[in-house]
Amino acid sequence: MRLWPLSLGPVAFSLYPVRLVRLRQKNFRNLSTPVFAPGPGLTTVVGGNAQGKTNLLEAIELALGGELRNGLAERIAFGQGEAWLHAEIETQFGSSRLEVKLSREGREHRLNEAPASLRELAQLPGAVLLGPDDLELVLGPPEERRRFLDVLLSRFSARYRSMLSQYNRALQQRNAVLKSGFRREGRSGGIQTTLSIWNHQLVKYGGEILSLRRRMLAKLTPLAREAYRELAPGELSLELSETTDPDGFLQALEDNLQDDLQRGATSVGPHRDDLVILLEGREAARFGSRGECRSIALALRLAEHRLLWQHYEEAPLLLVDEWHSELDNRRRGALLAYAQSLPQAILAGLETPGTGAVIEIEAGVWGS
Amino acid sequence: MRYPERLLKLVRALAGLPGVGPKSAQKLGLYLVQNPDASAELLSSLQAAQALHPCPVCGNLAEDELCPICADPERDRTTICVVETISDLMAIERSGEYSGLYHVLGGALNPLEGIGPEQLYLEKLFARLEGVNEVILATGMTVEGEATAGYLAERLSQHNIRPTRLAYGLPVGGSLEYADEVTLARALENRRGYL
Repeated sequence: MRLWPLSLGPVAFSLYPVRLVRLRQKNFRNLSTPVFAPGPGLTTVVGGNAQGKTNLLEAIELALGGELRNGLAERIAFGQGEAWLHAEIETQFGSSRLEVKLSREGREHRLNEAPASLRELAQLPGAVLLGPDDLELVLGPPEERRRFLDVLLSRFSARYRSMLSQYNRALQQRNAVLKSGFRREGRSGGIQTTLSIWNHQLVKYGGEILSLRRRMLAKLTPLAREAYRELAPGELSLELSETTDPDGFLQALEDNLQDDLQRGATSVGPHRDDLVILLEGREAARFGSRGECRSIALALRLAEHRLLWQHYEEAPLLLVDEWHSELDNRRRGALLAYAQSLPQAILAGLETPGTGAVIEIEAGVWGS
Repeated sequence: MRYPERLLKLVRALAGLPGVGPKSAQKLGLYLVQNPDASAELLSSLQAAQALHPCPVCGNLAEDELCPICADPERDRTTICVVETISDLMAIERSGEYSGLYHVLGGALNPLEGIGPEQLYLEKLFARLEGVNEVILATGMTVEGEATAGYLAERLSQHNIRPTRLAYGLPVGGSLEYADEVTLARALENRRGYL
């Protein structure tokens, strides 16, 4: 078995994996078979469009503590009150049971039968789901890339998660002051004092967000570059495009006050920053071919997988939706080689890679 | 079944109270209707409670001119503890560790809810700083509570008072092992000299 990422970084990767032993489900979207039990190694779920491949991978990701991708209500099968997922996994510390109940009111997690918060679930490396939507990371609006950074950082750091939610709250409050100030022509002296208070709050939480993002990017970039090299020729680099640096944040808020009052919104800060993706020094979204952009998206996700692996010293479960989509033979080969180097990986698509186990799916029903 | 209109009216009024669900409202309503003595007592105490008013000095509840704390000659008049609500004041009183005066803001800065400095009971605070040498900012540890503390600190510095802030940190009796990362980081930031 080839251990691909062993060459990366000073820390040797241990090959403790998260392994999914069994997923049980009820009322999750169109899924109908109650149990999914993939073996070790590569498993490919094969089926036509709209048969439930993506739903199955999403169910696994969610059961392992992943973020909710779309609306909660849409995860529940039509006409049902709630959906239920239960995953048995093996980790280096033995086996664990993860359970999630989705209802219209929200989601409820349990870890080994006890109620668990997302923070507790963050003790486990979980899963990384790659799919065709990842192309948005490269071609989509800045929100997509900020979300990528925020979700990834929140997995590492409860501190980041907490700073981010407090920052967003303080931002809403500042914007509310700006809106009320604009109505009053922003002339009253009181508004300046009030704004300065919220400026300080933004800087307190935002400064830490900015520096944690920088630290994480310094680790992510070499992993993404390495992953891209395996997929296609070219030098990939990642840079933060910041509206302000952490030390100048307060000044920048003050400098932009008039603009902000006009717009009724805050124009500088981590909520306006972007991740710039460069291929051979040129902005990929503008100059890259579609194939290159697809490879970059894949490289970013693989870098995420490796970063989590480094962090937990345990590989997250790799899930790949439409593994063949838009990739040429060389890139497919590299992706498969990576998946095969892991103790377990689950792919889904219209066709099989010709290796590993195959499970066919049709209208939410699969064989064992 | 059809409820008598008067019972329904009572139950609805009870169910509108914070923390009372429809089921407990129904239970309470039926109890009151069937126990005239309890009802009469409740009624008279409700009427008596109408006479309570905010203390003109600190904003706490008062039945005489001043609240019991402001009226108490034993309290230390050089220290004021600023809290958001009367229940926060009561929580600090329960600790038994504080012997100074209070100032109740009636909330925290919250522009989203339309609460700015003018909506809070705070101008009176700046009018009572004569002879005060410490102001303790005991607003909540929420984003809004922190902002309010920041605002007050700014205003107080213009009156040459450097306020103190309640410490964040580990719960008493808590073991480090179980403290979450955020609390632990805060506790480290706010560490202080020993001995």
